[in-house]
Amino acid sequence: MSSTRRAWGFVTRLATLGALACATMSDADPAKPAPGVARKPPYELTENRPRCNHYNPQRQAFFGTTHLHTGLSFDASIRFVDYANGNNPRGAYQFAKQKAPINIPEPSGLQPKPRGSCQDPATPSLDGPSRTPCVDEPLDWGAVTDHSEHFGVMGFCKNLGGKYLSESLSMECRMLNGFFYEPLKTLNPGFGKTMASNAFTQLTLTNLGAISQNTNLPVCNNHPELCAKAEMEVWSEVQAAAEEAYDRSEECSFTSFVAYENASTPLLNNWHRNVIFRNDRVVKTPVNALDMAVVVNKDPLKDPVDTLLAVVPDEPRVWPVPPGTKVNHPLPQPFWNKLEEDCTKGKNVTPGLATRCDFITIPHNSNLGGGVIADGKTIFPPMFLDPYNTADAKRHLEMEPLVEIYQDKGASECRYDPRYLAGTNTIDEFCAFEILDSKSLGSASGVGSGGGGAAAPPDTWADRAYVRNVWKDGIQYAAKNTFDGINPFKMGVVSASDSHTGVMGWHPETDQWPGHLGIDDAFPMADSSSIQNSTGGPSVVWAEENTRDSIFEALKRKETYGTSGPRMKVRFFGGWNYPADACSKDHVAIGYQGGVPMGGDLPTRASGAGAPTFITSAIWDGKIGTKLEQIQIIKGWVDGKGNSHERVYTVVGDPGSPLNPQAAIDPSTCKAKPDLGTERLCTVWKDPDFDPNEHAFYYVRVLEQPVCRYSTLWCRNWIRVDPLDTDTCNSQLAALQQGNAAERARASHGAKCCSNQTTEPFVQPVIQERAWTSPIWYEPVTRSAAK
Amino acid sequence: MDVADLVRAGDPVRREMKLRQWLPAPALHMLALGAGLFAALELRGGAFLAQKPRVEIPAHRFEQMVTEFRADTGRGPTREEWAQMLDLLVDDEILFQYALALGLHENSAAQSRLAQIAEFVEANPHGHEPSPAELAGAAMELGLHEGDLVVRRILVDSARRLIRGVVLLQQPTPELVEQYYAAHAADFTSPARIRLSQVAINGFVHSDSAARAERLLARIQAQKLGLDAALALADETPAPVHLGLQNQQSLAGEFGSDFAATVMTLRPGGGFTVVPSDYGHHLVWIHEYEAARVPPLEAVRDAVTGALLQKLADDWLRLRLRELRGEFDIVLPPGVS
Repeated sequence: MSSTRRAWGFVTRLATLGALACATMSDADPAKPAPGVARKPPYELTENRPRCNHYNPQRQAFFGTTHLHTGLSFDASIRFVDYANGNNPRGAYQFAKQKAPINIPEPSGLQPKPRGSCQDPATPSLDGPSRTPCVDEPLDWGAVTDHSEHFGVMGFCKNLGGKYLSESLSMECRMLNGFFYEPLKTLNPGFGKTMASNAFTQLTLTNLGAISQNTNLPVCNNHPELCAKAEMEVWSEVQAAAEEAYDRSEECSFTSFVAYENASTPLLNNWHRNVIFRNDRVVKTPVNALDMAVVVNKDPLKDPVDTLLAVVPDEPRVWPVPPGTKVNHPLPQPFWNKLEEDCTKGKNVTPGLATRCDFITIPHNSNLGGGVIADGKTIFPPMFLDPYNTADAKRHLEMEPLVEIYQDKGASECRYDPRYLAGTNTIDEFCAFEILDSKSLGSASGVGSGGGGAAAPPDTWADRAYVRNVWKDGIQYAAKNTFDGINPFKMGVVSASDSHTGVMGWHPETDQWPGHLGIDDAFPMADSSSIQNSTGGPSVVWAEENTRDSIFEALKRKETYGTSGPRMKVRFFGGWNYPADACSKDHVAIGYQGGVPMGGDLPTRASGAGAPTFITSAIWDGKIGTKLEQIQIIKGWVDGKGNSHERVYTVVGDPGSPLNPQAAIDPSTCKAKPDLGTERLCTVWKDPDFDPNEHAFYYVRVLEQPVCRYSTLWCRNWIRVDPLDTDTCNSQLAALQQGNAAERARASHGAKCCSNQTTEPFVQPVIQERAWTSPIWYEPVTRSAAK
Repeated sequence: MDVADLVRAGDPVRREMKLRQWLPAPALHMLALGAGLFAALELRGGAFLAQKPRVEIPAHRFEQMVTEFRADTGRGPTREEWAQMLDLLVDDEILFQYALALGLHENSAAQSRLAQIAEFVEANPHGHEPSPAELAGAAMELGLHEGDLVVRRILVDSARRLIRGVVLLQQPTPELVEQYYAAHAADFTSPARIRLSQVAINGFVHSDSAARAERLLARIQAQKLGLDAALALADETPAPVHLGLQNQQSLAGEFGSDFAATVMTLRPGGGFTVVPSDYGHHLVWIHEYEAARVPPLEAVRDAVTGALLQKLADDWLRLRLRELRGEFDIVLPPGVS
């Protein structure tokens, strides 16, 4: 255990004991002052601000998002998500606070008739939900993460400050501003969508997909100084919107983070990473996919982009990748290095109120970034690259404390495909949840106009497309001492939406879901690709208070979890000696005092100690009202021969029926049968299969009772077909296809409604919403000592 | 009343004065706007405004819109939807004409598109290799810009952004910010807060926590126990026992939204009240209630200014569109009104 962690544990215990003492104190007016009022937070304060009224040393769950796009992202703009019509960072924060609706384009590309406030009635749309939605419940915190690579171009195209009228009419901007607008029904039906997809590919391949000599778009290369200025306009607006949204009062009603997304997409593989800054001291210029180039393209007007191979130069910027290494992919190392130089070391930091700059990067959609495998050989590597050496392994560990396990474009936890009755290095049937048929961003949900890919066998997916397998590889590295015992992939988890519509923090399983890609999925059930989109879920942190420092520290120490939408509250602690009756007491205080929370490393095992024990509890989302089915603890470990394994334990609740959740549904209400489930679960569990010599990790998965997926509700309400009964559904759809114009239109909008777990695309009419916690890791004493 | 209302009110001279208050430079932008207006007013002999140029909404365009609507919905538009579609068409057409009057079609992108479409229809109109400018001019002469969706979209978007930009570039006067804040104080109000203690019944281990809470309440009332004595009877839970002044959002985060909503209706002096929460059930004791309050403007000035500018930009666009309508002779398709 590091000295920092030891010190932190001590402070936490002191704070907790203080709170407990205060709680049992007897006086006439004990709530004045409040517990924890000493409020000396157990972490670095980089902001001079009052502590929050709700400060709690035992921490609270704050629901937020680490990933959200607005009309300032190029791939939102091409889908007619309109910056000028309020779909911008300010609009997204207003939406998240439930202060205002946000405007999403109609299927035709026209902007919706705005409604003034969330209290005004929603404007009806054409055979679908409102295009001016409001969040169902305000979010606690969030970060707008627009794509930074095109900030300069977006500054041009949106004519920010009225300074770029000429550039706003360039070819690139015509593409970004949707020059291909066509009425919805023409001789080329779907032309607008097709052109949007083409624009995406054009823009992505031009600079986000290149490998060795990334470069900007021509309009920027032709006017580099002006482009840099426009980039600053956009980046400044992102920062200003975050500052406006941040509540610096002691009410602490909302916390925003300055952030952006690095959208590296080599050969359309998703290597995207969100960059979240701790406070208002941020890099002056976003470090992004262009900085992942193996070789800097010094004269982009002269040198074409090389997308094939490159040799790593002997330059500090690419450290610690060995010089001379031949690669066919970009490198995250120069991206991390430059962020560290510019931000952490303060070489290119904006002025601000905070004391210093700090950041984390969060990769997402490993399910679309697993690389390419052919004949059992890796043709293109996964986004979670093999470290080159010990220094590089440390780099991975330090730079990426978190990974996004779930979002609109599917789940990245693991893959089990009922169509093959097999999984990708797993037999866990609960992994048949929101899996995509696509392997890359090029054919992923909503990106291609038809898209969706094909249902390839699970063993053709790279193991590292899924986070559980990445975790297993991480402990394997440590167990085999490959990099001096370092586990490079010790990542916690968050969820997000990645919505490109400014819809921050709304994840409903309802018929009101407006899609996440503007015109591309305005009718989400029309295409194989878009029906596979989920509604995303929140990132949750356990933090003392709703401030930037407190939440950022929670993100860094991985005391986080993600859900598929519901706002469940999940606790998970690991230690060596928790009492069996902890749930009948303050199990949170006991959890902190006797061990570590989610995201931590089990304290060093004392000689003669038995197996580790874990406390876990879950509280339902009472607002949505779906009860809990079970808590599972999932263990991964490496045996003495170096082979990795996994096992799923149901530790409390009903084990359920993973491949037949529909049995638990009342088809008339589309909800779980009312006698099933519970509002709260809590237990203390000891690992029955523990071997003290084996590296292991443990994480919690909480499952709700089944409910209808939003697509089922959408199809029932807007298309009038019933996905819960496939035969009936197909008959209903066929009848619509033979009907009048209105019915034929509905059939077209709901063309994929009758999909299910056996079809291509894979769609579950009934799902089990869930939460995933960050793991707790165990390392044998000998290895820890060696380190 | 906001600035746009003020602008709309009053006589034309007064309105111009108000407009001038609102339209002072940034120099570059106003130069462009001024040049455009000058060109419209003077170079065309004032025809742009004086003679009310005729703007005709082609019947086929409206019919196409209705056809699309029918294809999408399988029904005809309602009266309100009909009016909305017509409004959209008229606004787009006016903005298109306004952009032409301002000379926005002279910019490079519009010119290159015009040159491109001229090539589609005329192989070599000049007998020599024509320049892009000549091609663009030919396209304009042929009226190709009227029917080209790309040109229309470029010009309409440019005009819309130009109009909104006039407001977004301004720094509103302190008086206007104050007026706006006075009218929209509710958007910036600090919420009500409450201070409480609670006696918990642990729902993690007692599935009958509601009944237990009621029994405990009855016992406390029967024995006339005070807060301290009642607290000694509480279960251990992770829920804080005493909470300082907190608003509904904070309470919802810690205890759940139902708990927060109920507690905010309670007042000091009411004794214990049974309230369910995420943790189980609680006997809640209220110490203090603080009503919602409006913060001083200085504390929220930036946010108020930003909100004001966005609203004014929207208002100004609507106002300009309304004014521009008065400057054109709009001819609707036969049978459409």
